[in-house]
Amino acid sequence: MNALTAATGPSSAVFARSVREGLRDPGPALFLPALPPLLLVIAMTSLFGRLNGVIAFPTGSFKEFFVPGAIMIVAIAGGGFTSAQVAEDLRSGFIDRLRLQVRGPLILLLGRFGFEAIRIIPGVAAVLCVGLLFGGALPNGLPGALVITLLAMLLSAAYAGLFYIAAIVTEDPQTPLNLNPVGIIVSFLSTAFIPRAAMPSWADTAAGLNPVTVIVDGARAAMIGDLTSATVAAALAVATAGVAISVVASGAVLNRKLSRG
Amino acid sequence: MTTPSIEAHDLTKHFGELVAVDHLSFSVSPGEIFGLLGRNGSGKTTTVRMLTTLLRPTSGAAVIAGFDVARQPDDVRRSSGVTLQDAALDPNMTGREHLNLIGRLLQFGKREVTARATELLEAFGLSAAADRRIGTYSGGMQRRLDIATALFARPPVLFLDEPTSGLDPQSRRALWDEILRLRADGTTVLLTTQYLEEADQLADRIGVIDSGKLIAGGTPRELRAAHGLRTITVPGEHHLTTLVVTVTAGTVTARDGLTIIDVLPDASIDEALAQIRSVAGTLEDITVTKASLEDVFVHLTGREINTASARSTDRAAA
Repeated sequence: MNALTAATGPSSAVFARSVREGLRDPGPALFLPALPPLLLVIAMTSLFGRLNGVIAFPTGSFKEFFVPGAIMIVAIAGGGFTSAQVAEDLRSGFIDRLRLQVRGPLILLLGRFGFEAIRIIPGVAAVLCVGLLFGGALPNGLPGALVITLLAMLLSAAYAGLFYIAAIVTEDPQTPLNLNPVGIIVSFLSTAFIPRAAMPSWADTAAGLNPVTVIVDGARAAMIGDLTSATVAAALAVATAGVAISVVASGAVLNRKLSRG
Repeated sequence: MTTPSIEAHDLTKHFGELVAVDHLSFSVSPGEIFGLLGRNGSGKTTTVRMLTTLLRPTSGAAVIAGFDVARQPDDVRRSSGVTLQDAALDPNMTGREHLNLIGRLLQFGKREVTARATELLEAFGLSAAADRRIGTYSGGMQRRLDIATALFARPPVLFLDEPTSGLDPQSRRALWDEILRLRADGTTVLLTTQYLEEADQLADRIGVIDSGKLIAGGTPRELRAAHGLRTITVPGEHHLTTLVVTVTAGTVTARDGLTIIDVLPDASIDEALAQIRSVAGTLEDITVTKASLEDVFVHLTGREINTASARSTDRAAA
């Protein structure tokens, strides 16, 4: 049995467990992440649709500018749904039962990362549809929609690592949930809401350092710009690197935690 | 000579300043039930966690089914099943989902997973509850499911860490029957317990562990013979002290119309009785009480097993 087979079988079992958890509690798993961006799309496009005359949006329209950012917020709102279960598994000792069956504890997280990626698809679809109804645009059609969905999935998985680390360190299911306000900071200090040119200098600097900015800019290009542009490629690369860093970091923290017994 | 299924050599675990397990050495033959008997906090759980690769020993070595726990942890895991002190189950899953998850983590084929899960649910009397959430199971049912989980891959070696802790007497008896059935099937079992009766009933051999050290070992009968006090109770308050003490090396207490003589393990009961009769005349209603395993434990550790005391202590040490 090669290493890939040894990892994919158990990971898919953990993934299936996460799917079951999500379906048992579909509100926070599948629908809650879409709620804040849906409200934002409705409120922001209705209230600030005429901002075009005040701020020079690169897209020419605030509504077209805002919808891709709102879609990326689906990946951040309600982040790390499965992290509470990670903490619960650690606290109850179930993680010991699971790791006795597999080659390395990281395998126990891979399936969860996978679920974090797919669970936001309904939310992304909902915000995309509502966004289009409220003045968004999708000239790149289905390919654009697929790329923006892929970016949101990668961002969701990458962002989940933060919650997993909190869950592993504290073994408290509540602690990761308390991290949700971080999402507000991360979103506002990116180009999800307004372009960097409209930000104060300190916020512009922060947005420049924020990897979410690269991903949001890529999502915007995928939806209404050039789908084959370097901006989209950079977004995909940053999001993929984010997932890799999250997986490695949370795996290392879990390994360290478990090796202490 | 048969190769032992479980071997521990100078197994030691430190947690900072605390020495949880101190140069523990023992072996368990194939098909044997070995009981590790000790109070909470004595190092039982830490020992099991080291033997099952969940915890790396500070020093020493252990071999399970021929595999070294430090160098071949994957092989050790494949060769052994474990139930930990608290039944490690997800209360939101059903019993069947739980076993299916374990089977898939073990990389069994889908059809094999389904068949084995069904087989185990039947074997452990859980078929009727298979599709109910584990959170609704009784403590005994959860323990049975936990053991079924440990047996999924048909391991030749099974570690049971206080398997009947917290169970009612009926569930405890039922679980004892399961454990004896496993031995009959050839499974080697290492059982930790703080229940003396459990060790006495189940274990072929017992190791008494105290403060991380193995302080005695043998069959229950051997332990009683080697370490257990026997008591002779004679009606009436007799002045037997000098004579009896020379024979039994034990203590004599005369009170409430009785004379109670403790006979140390290496003294002869027959000789003591003869001496008593020679001093006190022919006496009826002399009773001789054999040593219980509890007497052995008290003799060895100087303390009783206090089941109500320090569950948390053991967890802290673990």
